[in-house]
Amino acid sequence: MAVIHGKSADHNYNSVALDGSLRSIDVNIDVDTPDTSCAGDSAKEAIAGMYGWGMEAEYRWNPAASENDAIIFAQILAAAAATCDVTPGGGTPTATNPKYTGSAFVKSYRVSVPCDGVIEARASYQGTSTLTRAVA
Amino acid sequence: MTIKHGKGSRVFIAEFDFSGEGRSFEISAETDMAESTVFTSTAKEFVAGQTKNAVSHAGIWTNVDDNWDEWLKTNIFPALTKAISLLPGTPAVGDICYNGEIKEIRAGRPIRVDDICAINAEYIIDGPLGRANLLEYEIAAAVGAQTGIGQNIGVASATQMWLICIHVVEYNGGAGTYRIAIQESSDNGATDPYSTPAGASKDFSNTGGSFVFTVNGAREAWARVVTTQEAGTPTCKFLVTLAKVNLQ
Repeated sequence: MAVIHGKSADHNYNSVALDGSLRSIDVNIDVDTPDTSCAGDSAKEAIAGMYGWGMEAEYRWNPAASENDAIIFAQILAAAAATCDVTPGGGTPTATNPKYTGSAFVKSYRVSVPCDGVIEARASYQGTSTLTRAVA
Repeated sequence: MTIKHGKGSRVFIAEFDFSGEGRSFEISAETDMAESTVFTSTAKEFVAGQTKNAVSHAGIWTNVDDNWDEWLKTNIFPALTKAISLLPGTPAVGDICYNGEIKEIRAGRPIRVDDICAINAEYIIDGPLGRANLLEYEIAAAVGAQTGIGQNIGVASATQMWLICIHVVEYNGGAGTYRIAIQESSDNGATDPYSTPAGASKDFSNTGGSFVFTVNGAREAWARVVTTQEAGTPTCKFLVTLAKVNLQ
């Protein structure tokens, strides 16, 4: 089994590389599982519905042009979805280095400014429609 | 990559600089996501709705007269709109910052036997939160008539507007009128002379103060601040933040 460190992750939003300031990113995929249990069942039962997905990213806040603050803020103003992707291992996707890609809105954006630390930015991406897992 | 420490950050609300009492702030923009998934969808689908903007501002409760605590107490009920400009990192002219108009204030004052007395305030922004440019930053010393340095903030389309916050934190020189105007040019005045769009100037007479206002419509890429002594010889300490936002 190959263990992949996150230090080389690639991450883009709206076709702009944001991994230069990326600190962490979570890819969350959840499937609706409505309860189908009935009397007489020995344990709870469920049936799979449709899945939804999103990503939660943390960045070092970067106010420069074509960096996280400008790109994310512009997309909030546009109220439009854009391509969001992450390759945990970085580089070209392969069977052992998958890349997750989908169209996502910026659901929320936060900039935290402490007097005793680095300025951070956090974005919550709401995926809409399919999330692909590319292996080539 | 530009990594900025939070030290030196500034928070200006109305005509006040509350940076000396603040320890942190956080801006947040949250957009409603309405689910639009249908039977034939391959995965859940959404459309974007409206964005709620807010600022969390935490700091130290002090017993000083005319301080942040007193301002919060005085302004929490009237719900008067107030200009706010938030400057991350040690600010300089041309830096990226945020501005807006406070509509609603919530403030708590946690008091613990094992910690300093604190203030936790939340400001609900009325309308857009602007990703702004610090157009002028004259708070080290009061200045009179002067022409600021042009900043390329990019053109504003016909469906956008300038969102401008002016904070005059100190007014000197007695009776008079001090005018702060925002001018535009397509090429930093090279062939297109700077001019002041209608509604893009504010006068301050005999006292400090603040304005948050918008200038609608297509705007040129370059902007600068020009100050004039319209009456008397007043001088001011002030700053101006300008953002491009979508028309409401």
